[in-house]
Amino acid sequence: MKKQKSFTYLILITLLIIFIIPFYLLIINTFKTTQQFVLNPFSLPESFNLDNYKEAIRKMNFSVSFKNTLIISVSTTLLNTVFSSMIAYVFSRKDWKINKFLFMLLVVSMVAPFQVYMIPLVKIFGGTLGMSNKLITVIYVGIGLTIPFSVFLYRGFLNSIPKELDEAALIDGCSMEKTFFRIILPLMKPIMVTVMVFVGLGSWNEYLMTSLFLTKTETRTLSIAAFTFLTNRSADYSPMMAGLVLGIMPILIFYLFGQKHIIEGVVQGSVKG
Amino acid sequence: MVKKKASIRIFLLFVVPAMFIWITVVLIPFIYGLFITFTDWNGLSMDYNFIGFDNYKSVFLDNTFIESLKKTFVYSFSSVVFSNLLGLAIALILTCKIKGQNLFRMGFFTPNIIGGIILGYIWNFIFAFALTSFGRMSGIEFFEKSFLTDPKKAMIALIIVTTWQMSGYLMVIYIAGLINVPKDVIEAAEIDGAGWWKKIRYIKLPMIRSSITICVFLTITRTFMAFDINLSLTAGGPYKSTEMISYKIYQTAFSNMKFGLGQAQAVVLFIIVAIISIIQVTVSRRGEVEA
Repeated sequence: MKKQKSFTYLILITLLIIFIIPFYLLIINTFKTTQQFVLNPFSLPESFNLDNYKEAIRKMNFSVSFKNTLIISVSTTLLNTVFSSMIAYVFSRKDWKINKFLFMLLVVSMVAPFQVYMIPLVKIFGGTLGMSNKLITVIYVGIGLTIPFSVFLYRGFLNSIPKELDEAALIDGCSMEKTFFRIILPLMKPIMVTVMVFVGLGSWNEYLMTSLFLTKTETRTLSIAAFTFLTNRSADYSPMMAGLVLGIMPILIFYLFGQKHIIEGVVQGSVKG
Repeated sequence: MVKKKASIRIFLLFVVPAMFIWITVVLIPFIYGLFITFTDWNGLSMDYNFIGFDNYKSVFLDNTFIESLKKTFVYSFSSVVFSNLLGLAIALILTCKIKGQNLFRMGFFTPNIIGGIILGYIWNFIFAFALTSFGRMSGIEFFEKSFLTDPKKAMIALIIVTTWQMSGYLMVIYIAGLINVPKDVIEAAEIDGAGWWKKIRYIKLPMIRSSITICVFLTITRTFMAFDINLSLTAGGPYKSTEMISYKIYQTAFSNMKFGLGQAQAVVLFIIVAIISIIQVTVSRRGEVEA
């Protein structure tokens, strides 16, 4: 029995090493010169040489792309939360015909892949409205694309909160807005964490939609900066890898602290959606 | 009267803002997209002609599109099988009273928090330098040439990366399912002398049927829409050997400037994904009745 157990651990640990090895190789090679890397990608670095990071930060315009990514993901997440939770509240409390119809439309639209909207979105927002290279465009489109999914999850959760709670508040003379913001919203915290993690992480890692609108150096996000840095291939690989590490660092740090919520958010998000 | 006024106010305040954004970002582009498929618009010029169903005809007459459809099927099928098997295997091991379950779970899940673009590039370096250098050092010929420059092996590379990423994700769903399998049922089976394989085959697997359905369909839709990894790992190459459907649509629209044709391809992808979703709903409904 004991032998069997240690065998299980052996398999698990081997598997985990295979899973993690790409990150390990990536990180150790950022401290080497490109020549050292090409010669032997497996050797340990001789010293903690930060030159590659300095070059990557310069070429990727790291601080600007980091700031842009942060602005986009935070605004998308917060605004999505406000709009979706409000509409979901009315959908869950008022069984008007129009509500049922609108909710059905939202749910049906979740099936469509982004590629169906891609070309028209570029034409309308990028072309007709001239909104290319503005962060607000990406935020606005990001909110629109994530609304159906968030409304779906919020409504499901709100249906489980007893209606008597808001009816009592309404009798006490609270308006519907007040009831929602003072009483209902605080109760929605668990589902909000789930939705916010899902939307926030998605928008932090987003590439395709963002790349259609943001092309200038000043408006690049981290994904786009990494992409442009890596496609302009010189043979200088080590700074490129440092660029990749810079791209994943913020999210890894976030993950270390909130792994439980993040795993739950990411998985529940798409399982229920 | 008062009540009606109050209702309108609530509608304007709570429903209209979200619906306005959704209509402008999703509904109007969707309808406008259908309109584009009946034109020969190139994305730049102001004028275009109506050409009826010609775009849809060209979609199916275009050999490269059919090819990319086939590649997507191969990629999707292999990734679904491998990532589900691996994810399920890890979940089965981790639910066997393993110490440090959380740590393992966190490790296996890590690839899922990083965007496809960056993951693709990380593996680009692994395939181009680490594996080739491993091949040279160990003398295993199979690894000596980069997977990414060989049209036959580039697809394998894509499947490896997808399996690597998704199995950690599916693992979490499978763990959630396995935790809900009643302990007394398993204990009863143990008393009856069921070994580990019999326990899995006759008790655990049947009891997590709904998790399996979710995972399989999740991986099918995901792999059908895969774009980021396709772009950053292989960019459709070498020699277009890994050009899958989403990537193909992007190329048609933004490299070849055929917006009408690209949009028609996107509508075809939409129909495929919609059919898969309908099948999923029917299958999971049927499962519920039996359970």
